[in-house]
Amino acid sequence: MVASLLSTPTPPAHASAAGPTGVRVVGNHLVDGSGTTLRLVGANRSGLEYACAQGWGLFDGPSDQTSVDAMAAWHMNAVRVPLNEDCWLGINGVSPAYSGTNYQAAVHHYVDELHADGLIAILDLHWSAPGTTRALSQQPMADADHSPAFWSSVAGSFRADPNVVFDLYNEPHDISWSCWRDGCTTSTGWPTAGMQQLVDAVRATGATQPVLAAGLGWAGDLSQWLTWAPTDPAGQLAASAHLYNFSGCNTAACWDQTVAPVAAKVPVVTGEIGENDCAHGFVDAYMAWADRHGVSYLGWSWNTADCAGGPGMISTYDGAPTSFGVGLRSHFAALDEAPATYVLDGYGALHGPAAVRSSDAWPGWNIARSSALLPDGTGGYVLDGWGGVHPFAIGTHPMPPSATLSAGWDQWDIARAVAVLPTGAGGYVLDGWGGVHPFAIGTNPMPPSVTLSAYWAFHDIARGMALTADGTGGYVLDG
Amino acid sequence: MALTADGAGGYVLDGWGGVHPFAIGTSPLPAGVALSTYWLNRDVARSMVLTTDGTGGYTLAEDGTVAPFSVGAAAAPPASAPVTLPANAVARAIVLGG
Repeated sequence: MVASLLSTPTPPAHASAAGPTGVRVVGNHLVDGSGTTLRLVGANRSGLEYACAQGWGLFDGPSDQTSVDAMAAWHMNAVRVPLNEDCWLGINGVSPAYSGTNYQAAVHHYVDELHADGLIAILDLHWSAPGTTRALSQQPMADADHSPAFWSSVAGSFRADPNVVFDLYNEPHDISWSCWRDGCTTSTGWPTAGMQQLVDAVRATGATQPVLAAGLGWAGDLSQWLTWAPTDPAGQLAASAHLYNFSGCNTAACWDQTVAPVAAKVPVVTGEIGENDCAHGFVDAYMAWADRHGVSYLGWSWNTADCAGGPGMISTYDGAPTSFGVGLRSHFAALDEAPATYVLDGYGALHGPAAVRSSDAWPGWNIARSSALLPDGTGGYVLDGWGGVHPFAIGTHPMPPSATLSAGWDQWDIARAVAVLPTGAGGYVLDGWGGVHPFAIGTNPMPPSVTLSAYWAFHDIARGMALTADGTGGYVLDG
Repeated sequence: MALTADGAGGYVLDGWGGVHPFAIGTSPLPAGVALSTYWLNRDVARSMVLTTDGTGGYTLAEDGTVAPFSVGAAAAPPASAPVTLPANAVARAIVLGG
């Protein structure tokens, strides 16, 4: 039966590449262009939402490549860029120097700079206003007068860029969930655009990138997000939350209750995290929670604001952290330096930060038992329950040679663990009775037989095996 | 089960996610670990791996949850993103890639 296991088709190969290769939604997570799971980790670069409408500029602080380099040096992979609908559309009396084509060109140029440093851009409708009112602040919801036109224009403009995400409306608040999705007239009498209308505006352009729909309560409330989620014909909808130590949902209990259920269904991007105490205990706790739930997060904000006010992550635009921002910087760096973990599932597939090409897989059959890496980490071997040893390759590395077995158990699920020798020339398979059987890799000779100190005939009790660093012996764990 | 890099000892994973040191020969017992996750009364822990520097590691539950742990006074390695398994598949093993 080992032979029939070997005949299963090999899944297609994927390879990771440096820099942004695209971002899209698959199930409840984001993936990059190679299909590898991706979480967005970074910061907000505030300024484009207010300076233009206030009539004094485009950005608040430097926006050149050097300034972006400083962000990338914090090991980010995404930057959220808050925008102003009046400035983008060139309406409501915003100076032409800071609106219309000049504003749009500035946004495009900045996005290009982000991409040049491998950063994904999240374009966010942050400030808006209905009618002839200039967009000088946040509103309870997007306005029907301009926001759909804003997204038609922005999405059309970035339609061909696979490295952008559209954040439909920053922080909806003081409206109902029905209004959130379908629109309504506000208490002050102006018509809103619901999330569905904004999704439709994006998709009507042909843009297929992910869209974020932020929850109610200034984006702190995802409690009814799944019930009221808009329909996205592109299947690229994700949720956004904003969480601060001073916001409503600032405990792990709340995250477990309201964020985790959403994260189990769609990707969740925490578009803003922060705290106003010039410390980082809150964001540390949240990032650790988010790491365990596959949730993305971006700090507010990459501006030299007071850490007790903004809260500002930096004290200078070369990236010197505030006493708040240092927590984010440390965590981002630790993520970037984290060991690459690969998990073998029972069907024989390995899941990790780089795509893995398996020589065999058994979809629907939990027959894979164990895996072991080659010493150079470029690939390894999967053990099936009948004793077959099947090579796999990580990333673009070549497929390791086939294994020559000394034992196999046709139609008997008794193989339990596999280990590769430090030389990479062969290894050993543990059976459930405690037998340890050598196998050779490629053209190498068969490793020597072993002398056992324990054996449990007719008793499937052996569970694990480890070889010593010199490969001259090892240990077997019984149940 | 995993051995330390110097071969002087190792660690055993129990079904609830506990990680227990053992010594080989006359070597001293390796340092204890601090877990980030423990599945009390649930036999779901399936595999463990030590980091190359031996200051921590990861345990794996059958639903694909990967939980970091630290050894001695060292800081725990960063959490890994959860693995999305195919329907009805179970997680079997965890390894550290190059």
